[in-house]
Amino acid sequence: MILFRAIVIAVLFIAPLAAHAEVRIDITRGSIEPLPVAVTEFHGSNDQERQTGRDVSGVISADLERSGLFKPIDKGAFLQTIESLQIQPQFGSWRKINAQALINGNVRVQPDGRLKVEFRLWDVFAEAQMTGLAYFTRPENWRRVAHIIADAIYKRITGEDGYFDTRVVYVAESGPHKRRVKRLAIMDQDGANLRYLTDGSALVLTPRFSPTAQEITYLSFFNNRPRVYIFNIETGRQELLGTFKGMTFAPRFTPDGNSVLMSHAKDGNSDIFIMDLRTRKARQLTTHSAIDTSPSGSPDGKQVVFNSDRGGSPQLYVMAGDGSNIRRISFGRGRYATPVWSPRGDLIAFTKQTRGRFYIGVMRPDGSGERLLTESFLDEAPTWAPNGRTLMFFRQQPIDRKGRGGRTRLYSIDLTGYNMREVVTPSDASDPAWSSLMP
Amino acid sequence: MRAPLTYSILFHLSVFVLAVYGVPWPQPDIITPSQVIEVEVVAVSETPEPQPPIPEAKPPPPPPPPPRPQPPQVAALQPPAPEPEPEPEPAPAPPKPEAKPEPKPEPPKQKPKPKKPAVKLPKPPRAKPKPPPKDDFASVLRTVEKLKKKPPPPKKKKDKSLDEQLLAAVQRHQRSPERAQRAPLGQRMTMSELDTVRRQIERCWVFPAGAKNPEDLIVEIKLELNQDGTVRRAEIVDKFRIQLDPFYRAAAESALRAVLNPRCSPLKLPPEKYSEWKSMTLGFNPRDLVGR
Amino acid sequence: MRFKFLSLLAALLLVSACATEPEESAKSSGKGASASAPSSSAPAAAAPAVGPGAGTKEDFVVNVGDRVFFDFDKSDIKTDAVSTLNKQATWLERYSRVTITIQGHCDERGTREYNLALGNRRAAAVKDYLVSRGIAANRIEIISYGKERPAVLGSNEWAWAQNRRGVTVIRGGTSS
Repeated sequence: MILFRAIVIAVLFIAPLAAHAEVRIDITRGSIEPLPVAVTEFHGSNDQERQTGRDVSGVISADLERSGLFKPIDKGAFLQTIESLQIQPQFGSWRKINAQALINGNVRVQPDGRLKVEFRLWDVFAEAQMTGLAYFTRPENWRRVAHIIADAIYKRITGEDGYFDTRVVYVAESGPHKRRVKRLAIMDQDGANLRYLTDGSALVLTPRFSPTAQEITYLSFFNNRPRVYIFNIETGRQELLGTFKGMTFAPRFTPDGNSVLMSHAKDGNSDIFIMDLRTRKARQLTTHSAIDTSPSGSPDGKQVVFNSDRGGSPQLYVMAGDGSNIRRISFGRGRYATPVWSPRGDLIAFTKQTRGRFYIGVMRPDGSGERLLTESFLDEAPTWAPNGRTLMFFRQQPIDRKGRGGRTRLYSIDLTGYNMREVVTPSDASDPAWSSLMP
Repeated sequence: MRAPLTYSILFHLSVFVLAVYGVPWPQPDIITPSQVIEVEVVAVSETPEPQPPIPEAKPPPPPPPPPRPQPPQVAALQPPAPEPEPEPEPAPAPPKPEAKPEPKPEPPKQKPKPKKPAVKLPKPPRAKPKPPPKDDFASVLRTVEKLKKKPPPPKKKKDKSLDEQLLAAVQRHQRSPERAQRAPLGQRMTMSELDTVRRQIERCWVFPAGAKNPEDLIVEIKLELNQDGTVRRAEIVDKFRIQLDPFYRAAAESALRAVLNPRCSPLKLPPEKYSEWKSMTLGFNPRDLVGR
Repeated sequence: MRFKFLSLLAALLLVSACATEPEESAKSSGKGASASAPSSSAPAAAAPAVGPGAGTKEDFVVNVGDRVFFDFDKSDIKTDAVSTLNKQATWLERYSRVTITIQGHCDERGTREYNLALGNRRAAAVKDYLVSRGIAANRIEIISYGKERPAVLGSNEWAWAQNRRGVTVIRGGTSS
């Protein structure tokens, strides 16, 4: 012990002389610029492969660019050829054009007719491969493979799952505003492969994907009886959900996919129910005489956030999964609606209405940290990308007395409030819902 | 892939059934026939790490412990079977050619800084070994070097509180700002000098905005600098966590990219105070990067 | 259904049934006419000399008034709606085989799902009033359209006031 103390004392006086004063700098601000990335055309050894290679890299590039976190560099600036890239990246030449990440790959048709698509992601500054994967698929699936690759790149660089291999279901609108024709439409997240699921003969609203199955739940006014249905995407079969007297609406799958939360309106009073899809038994969660609607379950299944005017105006409330312990979470000025729990659980997105304007915003599940991301004449119905980093919603412009205007389109925006962009659809569109990552 | 066929059969069967038995009762509007979506299972195999870079680097690389910290996703996805094929392709070609190309590419890197800076990541002495990691973030690990001598491990001492106090005193002493004052006044870094570097690096730090709990993603990078302000060595301090936490790894790599970014090289530091800043620590805190 | 709705609308505009706000009803005849261009060549608001046949849907719309209006985010029956509903009740008593559907509608200044609930509440409020006036509940159905079927186009206060409405639609049992 004595020896130890002696040493300590010695250190106390000697060490300072030897040790060097360390400079420390804290960086708390960064660039919000997207990461410059070089997405090269994937190499092919014949025309078909080359064409597919171009297509694949084009889809990857567009996905990454749309995410707002990446800025693909113009191909014209590339200094190294695709062929020589096959051998080894010349990192210096990529640094020269300020690429921080480099993506290359190749496409090969296999003897069995399948496609093999391989890619590599390189860290240009560190001069190292960050990841590299190969995929086999049928040639017509090249687009999906491209999305899957974009997801892999996104995940490797951000640490978070991507959301490119996903689809969006929405309501396609057409016709005069007084008698809008609405059809369910489904498309890839980037707008490709659009098709319509219903023919517009019945008014349909608020479709939502099942997180686990190829199913959509939505509201249809079939036979002038507004009810919640489930639509199977693969079979085209539709099924009435439950045998309620009176309107059922505002359906949404629980995150485990086993149940549907919805509202049931009876004699003017709307309450929230949950229906177990296996037993087909419905359970009533709220019993208040006020409007209770727009339920959305937390990812852990333990809570439900919903919209209620029990306090005199529409506000957000959270309750336990069995309907107990109801508490209000929105206290800002204005009216709140359409709460949607983030798939990663940390936030609730909502529509807010105040002073004649509509906003899409997010807050924590306890109601703190409210942030408004968008504002317009009418923004509504946020839906989360499966990674909880991006939202989609619809925006309607004002209509004049002659029915002009009223353009209604889908938009996506980052959680940060940056990078808003229109999700291009061929006609007016509303009520978007994002799928989970495809299985 | 017989999924499409199955779907097709199911679909046609269901059409037939519908035709015969009629539409099941609650059948809202007519549905356009649902076209079968090819939910083909995509075989994913991990491509062999690019053998190319490795061969040359053989000597140095061996140490890297990275027993392939494969991203979990990959592991889950990869069906063993298909892999064999992919590997042959990529691997073969690259290895040899690389050897040559590499030497050349190097010079370009150095250009920014004529002399020592040649190798950014690797230690200055060896110019060749640079092409590092085969592995995913070997890059990160690789660059990491054990510069850091941790202060005397206070943990062992549990017996005497006095000893602990002494130890604590030593550590406090070592960290205390007063120590800095030991350096002659004129040699210490001024606030504005530090601020210049801070602003310089902030411009090069591109952090993937929108991460969850950004306050938990503070990354420390230990820098060793050459006299001209270029980075000789950059090391992520918490090497353990980057192996476990993909979010932290993403944050750490973004920080590393910031200090390795040619646009931020050399750092604007007063040459006469080299002894003060030849090694420094940067703390990257994305707290303020989220939201607006 | 939709054509019926349109004709109802046209008829409504003729009689400027919006008894809600006097000022606005004055406006409504002018603007309403332009809004429903196709069918509004008929002379203005004066009650037609040759009315629709008694007991018909047209009779109900033109001579009774098929709709009442609500304040923003409200579903209580306003005092100026009472007289319309009283007339509806009287008419329904006289034609006792008639069944009706009450539609609840909202303006566009709310979210879709909330408005569906609100429209349902408005329709129920109208039904409750008619029932309180002696109309059998089993003659009455309700449906909410939320903000899906505006009666008047335009993103302005006047149009919104016209769209926040409960509309009584004859479902069956008339002679016509």
